[in-house]
Amino acid sequence: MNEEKTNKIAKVVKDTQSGNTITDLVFNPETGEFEEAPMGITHGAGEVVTDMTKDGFA
Amino acid sequence: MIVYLSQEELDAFAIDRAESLLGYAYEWEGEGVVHLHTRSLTHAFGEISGCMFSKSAFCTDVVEDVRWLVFIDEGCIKVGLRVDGGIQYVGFQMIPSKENLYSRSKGILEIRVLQNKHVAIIGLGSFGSQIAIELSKSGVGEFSLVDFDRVELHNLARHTCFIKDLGRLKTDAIEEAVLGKNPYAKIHKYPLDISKNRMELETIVSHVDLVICATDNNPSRFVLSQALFDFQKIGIFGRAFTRAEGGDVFVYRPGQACYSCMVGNIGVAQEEITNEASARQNGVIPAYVSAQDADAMVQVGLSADIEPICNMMVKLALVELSKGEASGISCLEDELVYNYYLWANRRERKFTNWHVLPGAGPMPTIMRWYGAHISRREGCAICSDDEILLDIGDNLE
Amino acid sequence: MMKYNRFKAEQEVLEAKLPSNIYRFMDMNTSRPYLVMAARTNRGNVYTLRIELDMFPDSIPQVFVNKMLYDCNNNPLDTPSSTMHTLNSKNGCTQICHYGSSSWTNRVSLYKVYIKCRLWLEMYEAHLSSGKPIDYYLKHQN
Repeated sequence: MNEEKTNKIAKVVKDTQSGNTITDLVFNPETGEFEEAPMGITHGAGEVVTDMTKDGFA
Repeated sequence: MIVYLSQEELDAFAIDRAESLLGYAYEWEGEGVVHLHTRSLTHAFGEISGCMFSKSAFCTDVVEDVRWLVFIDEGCIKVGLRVDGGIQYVGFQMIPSKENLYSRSKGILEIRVLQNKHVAIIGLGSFGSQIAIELSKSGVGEFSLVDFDRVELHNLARHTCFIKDLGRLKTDAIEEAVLGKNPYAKIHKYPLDISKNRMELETIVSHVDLVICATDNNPSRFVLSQALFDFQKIGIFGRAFTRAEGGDVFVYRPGQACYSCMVGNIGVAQEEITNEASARQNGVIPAYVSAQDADAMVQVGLSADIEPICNMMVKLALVELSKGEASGISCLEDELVYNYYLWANRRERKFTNWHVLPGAGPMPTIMRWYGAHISRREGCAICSDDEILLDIGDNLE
Repeated sequence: MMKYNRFKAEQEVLEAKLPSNIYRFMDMNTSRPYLVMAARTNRGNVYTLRIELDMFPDSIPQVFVNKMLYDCNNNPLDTPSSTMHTLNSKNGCTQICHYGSSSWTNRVSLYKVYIKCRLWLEMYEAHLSSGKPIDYYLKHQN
């Protein structure tokens, strides 16, 4: 496999390991809007309203 | 007796070479109401009988069994009812011509612009049926109606269709409903499954200005999302969560996040299941679930809980269709800037920790819309400019 | 139907992860494309999987083991079963229930589907030894 291809795959793998996370929608009371935030990070008094589906078996 | 004539049809007859023609009288027996038309209507109603339209009184003597007569003579119109061998003249009112039908909305909506807009509505269930009618009331001039399904008993509680429509193709029933509101609307009907007819879907999407995505499952939304991206068309997606405790609306604008980005970013929602058969077909109810358990999974929300979501979709559609034209709703262009809108009907399940409406202050509560900006997802399976970043399941290895 | 760029991405992942002689895309220019894959379990048994691609990646692809499998009581795995994670068989082939629709997204790769089915096969063999249903080993998706 050439280097370019290896790099591409590395990128795919990296995305899956770190980027497979799904963001939460967190409420910002100052703006009155929901904002995307990385999964599991609580933003002050913000309220997480989405739940990621857990990866199980059908 | 209350009599209605169509201005558009009389204008056409006046310049026609024919001296007379046999038209149609749609009459509600016992209610004293009749609509007289030169042509047969697809949105027919009442009892049908004949009606003679004539440019001279002579023709009316020939056709004796016709009860209703309309004379047009140099701009003067008379409506006659044959009674005991004679003719009794009655007053009448006009159904306005195309440009005047929705003139009352002028100033709020730019009717002229909407008349020339073509909207595809994919899915004619409780969402799509209401949206089709609302858009026709707003003056949208052309529709492509797409749904392979027929009106069934379980639809009726939330659908615009009636018991009399049971068994009919939804495309036919909604065509009738749309024409009932706007007889000048142009309708194209496609009773097909978009997931199995990609080419037809692409043709439909390529011809319209905006797509209402009102199907009830993600596979069909992914298919739609791909078509919207390929043809760079605006799409408005709407759905209800379990038991319609709330719902959300997503707007795809070319260049921004697509539906697939949204699902990738904020996850797959637990959606309302309204119909066991279609939920089984889509795999939403797995095949191994018993009939009894499936029955418990089908939890249909109230029509009143669906309405606000449909309403938001209609407003977003009208704003998108009217963009750049001065009208009374132009100011909404500054408000409806988000691509994601969230609505709660009740503080249940995912909304349990939302605040009680009284005293909620700035915190999230029920029956208020909240906006969010969903960002484009790197490596999105549909709209990525670069290579697709797949989920290869490292967590499983 | 898979777009060409998606097909290439799937191919690249498979190429990086698996020997090239254990998978083959079939009938890709038809309305019924599919992927055939070989899977060897830890006990050394080899199975052939057929992954139907006509609706992939918009819908969950149907996955069949290219023969009828039997449970520990010698009953065919040919009907939908929650405990055994199976769906209706087709043409005499057992169908694996590998994904729930509420968890499916169009980013899920064919490689991930393969790995899940490979896991299912391991657990199927564990079931044959222990008599415990497959969902004893594999939890259900939400």
